[in-house]
Formats: sequence, C-alpha cells, structure tokens
Amino acid sequence: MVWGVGVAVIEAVGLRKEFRNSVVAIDNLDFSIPSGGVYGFLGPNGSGKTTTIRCMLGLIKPSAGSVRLLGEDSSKSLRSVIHRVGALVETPKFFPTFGGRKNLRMFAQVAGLPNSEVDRVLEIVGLGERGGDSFGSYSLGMKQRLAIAATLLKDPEVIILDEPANGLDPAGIVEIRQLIRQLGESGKTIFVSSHQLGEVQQTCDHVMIISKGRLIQSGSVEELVALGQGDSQIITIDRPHEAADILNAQGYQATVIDAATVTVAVDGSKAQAINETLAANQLFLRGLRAQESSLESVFLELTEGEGSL
Amino acid sequence: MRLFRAELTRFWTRRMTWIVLGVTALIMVFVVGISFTRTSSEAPPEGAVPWTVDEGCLEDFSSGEIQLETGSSGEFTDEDIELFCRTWTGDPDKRFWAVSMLGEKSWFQETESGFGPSEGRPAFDTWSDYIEFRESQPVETMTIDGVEYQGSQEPLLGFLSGPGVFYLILAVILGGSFVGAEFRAGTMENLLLWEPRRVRVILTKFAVGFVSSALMVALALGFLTGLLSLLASVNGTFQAVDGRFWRDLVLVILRVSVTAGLFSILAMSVATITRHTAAAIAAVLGWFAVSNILIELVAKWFRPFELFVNALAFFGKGEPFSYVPTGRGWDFTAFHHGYLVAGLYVLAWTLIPAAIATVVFAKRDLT
Ligand SMILES: Nc1ncnc2c1ncn2[C@@H]1O[C@H](COP(=O)(O)OP(=O)(O)OP(=O)(O)O)[C@@H](O)[C@H]1O
Ligand SMILES: [Mg+2]
Repeated sequence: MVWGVGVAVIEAVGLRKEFRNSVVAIDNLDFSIPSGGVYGFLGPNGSGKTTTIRCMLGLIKPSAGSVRLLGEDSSKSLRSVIHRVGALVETPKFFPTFGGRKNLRMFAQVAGLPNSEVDRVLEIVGLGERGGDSFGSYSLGMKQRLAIAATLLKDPEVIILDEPANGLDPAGIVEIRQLIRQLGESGKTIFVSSHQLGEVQQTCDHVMIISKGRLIQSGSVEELVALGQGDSQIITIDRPHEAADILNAQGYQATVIDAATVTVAVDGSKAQAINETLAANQLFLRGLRAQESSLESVFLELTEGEGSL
Repeated sequence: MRLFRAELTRFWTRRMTWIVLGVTALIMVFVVGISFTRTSSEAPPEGAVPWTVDEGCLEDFSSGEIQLETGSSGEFTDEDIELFCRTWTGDPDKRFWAVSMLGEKSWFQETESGFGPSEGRPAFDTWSDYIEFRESQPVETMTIDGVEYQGSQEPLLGFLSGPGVFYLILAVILGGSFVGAEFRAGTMENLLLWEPRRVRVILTKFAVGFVSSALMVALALGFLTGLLSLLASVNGTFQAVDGRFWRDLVLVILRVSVTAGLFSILAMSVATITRHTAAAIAAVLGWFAVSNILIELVAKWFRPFELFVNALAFFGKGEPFSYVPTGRGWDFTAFHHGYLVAGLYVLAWTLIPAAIATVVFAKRDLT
C-alpha cells in the first residue's frame, strides 16, 4: 500500500519476524511511508507494532523480507542515515543513576552535538529544571518526556515514536499532540504507534492498522472513519424489543443491545422522527444519545475478535 | 573516537567505579595501618642468618623422642634434621618495608615450615642481592621414564600473587557491571540508535573497560606504594630498597594492571553473552573458586593452561608447572612455560570470549 508519491521514507517489503519461541510477531507486512506528515500505527496489544519498529531501526533482524529507512536496508547499512532518525522504542531507557541531562549529553557526545542542544530539547519537553535529577528518580511521565527529548536531539527528519503519550498527564498529552503536529507540519516525517485512538485521530494524517502482525487497513484518517458503519442513535427504553420491531417496520435499522437499549443506524437529524414514531405507539424514550463513527469504533470493528493475546 | 570518549566519561562517572575505588582505598589504609604495628625501623641483624639450631631438638632426635615419618624421598639426612630443628631468632613480628612491599624477605629467606628443601640462606643487604640469589639458584631436574624434566620456579616476586587476585576481582566487578548495567537499563538499544555499527560499539566498550580498569588498578597500586612509603619512612626502613627494587615494582604494577584490564574484558564478554552483571561476575569468580579443586580432582593436565594460574605467574614472574607422575605416588612439578608465555595464555583466555561476545552481540536481536 503506497501513500502518495515520492521517495518512501520507510518502506517494508514482505516483512516477517518469527521469534525463537516460534511466535510470529509480524507476517508479510508491506507498507511505504512517504516524506512529511504524521503517520499513525495502530494495533491491539501484541499485534507487532514494537517489533515492526525494532526491525526498522535495525535492532532486530527480520526473518524474511526487509525494511528500508531513508533508502537504507535497516539490517545492514543504517549507519549512513541514522543521524537523520530519532526514535523512542517501547519504554524510555536510560541509566538510572545519571541525571536526565547527563544521559542526553552522552548521546550528544557520541553524535558530536554541542551540549546546548541538550538544553534545547530539555526545554521543549519541559524538563529544563529537572535535568540534573537522576533518571531513576523521575516519574513515569518525566521519563517519557526525557525519551521524547532524546528523539529530538539530532533534529531528525524522521521521528519514530512508540506510544509516546504513555504515562503523560492530560496537559502532557496535549503538549505532545501539539509537538507532533508542529513537527509534522514542518516537513518532518513522524511515525507514531499509539493506543490512544482519539489522539491519533487528532494528530495523524494517515493511519495504518495491523493485527496479529498483518496489515489490515491503511489510509487517511477520513477514509478510515468513513469505513465505519456511520453514526447511530442509542435509545434507552423500557420495552426494547417492541421498540425495535416498530422501528424496523418503519424501515429503520434498529438492533436491541440489552434489556433497555436499542441502537438505530441513523444520524442525529432523525432523532425527532424516531421519538415521534415510538411515542405514537405508547413507547416513551428515557434517553437518546448520538454515537458518531470514529477511528475508535472503526478500529474496534476492524480488530474485533483479532485480539492476539 | 567520540564514542570512546563518551564511554570513558561514563566509566569514570559511574557510581560503581567510585564505590570500588573507595572501598579499595579503605582496605589499603586498613591493611597498611595494621602493618604499622608490625614494622620496625630497627636495622636487620648484621649479615647473619637469624636462625639457631636448637640443641635440645637435636638431642630429642638422637634419643628417638622425635621421629619423622619416612617420606617417599627416602631417609632423612642430618641436614634435614638440622633444618627441622632451626629456631627463628629474629623478632617474628617485626617486618621491614621492602618485606611488606614485596612479600618476600629481602634480608633473609625463611623456609616455609622450618623444614623442607630450602637451605638456610645468607642475609641480603639489598633487593638486588636477593633477586640475584634467587635467580642463581640451580634449577631442580628430575628424570622420569627417561625424560629429563625441569622443576618450575615459584613466583620470584611473591608480592602480588595473593593480593593480586584481589585486583583481578576488582577488574571483573568493574568490567562486568560496566556492560551488565547497560543491559539492565536497556540503554544498549538506545546507543545503537546513535551508533548502529555493533562491532564498533562492543569493541569500544572493551577498549574503554580495558584502559579504565588497568588505570584504576595502577592508581590503586600507586596509592598503596605511597602508603607503604609513608609507613616505611615513619616506622620502617628503606635500607634494602635500591633501583632494582623500584624497577621491579613498576613492572609488577604494570603487569598487574594489564592483567586486570584483560580480566575486565573477560567479564565484559561474559556480561555481553549473558546480558547480566551478576552472571558475569559469578562466572569468573565462580571459576576462580572451583578451578583449583577441579584441576586437582579431575584434570591435572589442565593446570598450566588455567586462567588464574597463568595470571598469577605472569605478574609474579612465576612459572606455571605441570604435574608429571613419578610412579612413586607423587607428582613432580615440572616447568611448563615462563611468565611471559603465561601472559599470552591470559591474553588468549580473554580474546577468545571477547571474540565470541562480539559475534553474539553483532547478530543478536535486541528486544
Ligand atoms: N523477544 C521476543 N521473544 C519472543 N516473542 C516476542 C518478543 N518480542 C515480542 N514478542 C512477541 O511478538 C508479538 C508482538 O509484540 P510487540 O511488542 O511487537 O507488540 P505491540 O504491538 O508492540 O504490543 P503493545 O501494544 O502491547 O506494545 C507478541 O506476541 C509478543 O509476545
Ligand atoms: Mg509495543
């Protein structure tokens, strides 16, 4: 599946990873990510997101197929492009007894970057004042912020983030969302795996959904949301079966959910008509609310029964 | 080079490094403090062997009151009996500086148990005299089944053969934890996002561990030398200390440091393979604990090839021996190789695991 045109920043061809315990974490994955924009990478727990990211970064060797990062084969020749790539894989990993600043300075030293860069990225993630404290003493969210700072240190063109919002407070989530958007708009390519579908819907331009190591859907956020069953109205009522029969007789698509709930697959403009129809039959609503199709509902539909755990 | 510097910085700013250095310094101060009470600035007995033969003891022998079990080497000569009956007349609690420093008695040679193959030896005025005497001693030979075997020398510089293991242990702890901590914190994964050439990464770590551990042990030994010099100037004597002494001392420190660096590479290799600090330290120290027993019980032939045997021989200028059965119920301890070759054995013991670790690290999935 190819999004847009131009040179692919990340490209997987027939990517497969089978671990030694014969778990097939990714299976024949093909995708291609063009330059610029924010790409969401979704999938249930254990679906192979982190494994895919590790393959991209050359941390694990694919069992078959290959993945190229900025045109270089990840398992062979990353060296020439690694300075253009920043990544956070799974969880923040730093030396616990060293301060946040010192941890980053070590990497800056390896890459030959000045220490002022370290201070710059610490400011961005709001750790400027706590940079001297040991990493081990950081809260979960602070650790995550440090890891994000580390990915920004090289001022990379490509940023790969594996669940960056993990452990962040609401304000932190908003900050990261803005940061990701801003980076995406400035022409960088952001590849972000996430569980927080609301976030993905707000931050990403394109989305790729995998399940059990296979690509099951990809496209722009709008395309994916449109794949959903559309909006529906959720009715709370005392005699749901009667209500459903009446509505179906009128040409609606009504489904009984439980002893007090019926859903009707229509948008909000029909709410009044539904109410009138039922009232005419001596059935009175106790409540009615709209449910909009969203990335979340689409995701749940697509991955339904696919939980790979 | 940037990676080297970054790793070097990490080594020397790690808490573990300073804990180890601090503990080492404390132990040294303590040991030297104790030595203080056991040293004296008195001059050694003038040109004499501080032994007398106890007449009562000789009489007990002739009257049959004391009997020695006949050894496999046959009857005891009068000389043997005289050796047995010698009494130490020096003050046993007084040691002189060069003595505590190099662990050998630079003025007089004490036989281990007062009875044995050694003869009463002349007193030595200087360290050089002592070394020359040791080196001029004829080499023991023995013909077994028509083959003439040479006996092996004990370490010439007994100084570090005991405490030397202590420095090796330090190096193992430093090296093992240097790499082990990386796997524990998961930072190896991070590092590879900055330098993906894995062979380069691991070799740089080996180099940093080697240089740093060696430097650290050299520092520790320098510190000890300083402490002992202080001790000697306050409560001891430099009388027997000459140029040769200082040269030997520097060479010993060099050899111990290099060996420590190699041991640190060994520990780093095991830590890379096991991905665990404790496993690495336990493996090397565990081997130290059981190797002697294993050799004695099941693989005597292995002795001259063993790691610690060679390490101790290398820095003590000793000669690892092999056991040659004499057919008389005991083994002759025959010369196998010299101390420089022993150093090469240590090198091999280090480089082989290091090569395996490099290959494993280059190929392994990091998850
Ligand atoms: N080192 C490993 N050895 C064996 N199996 C592994 C290993 N790493 C991952 N797996 C398996 O591969 C599958 C995919 O794991 P992965 O971590 O890629 O999932 P994920 O999509 O990132 O999940 P999550 O959302 O929970 O982070 C899982 O079944 C997991 O158990
Ligand atoms: Mg994951």
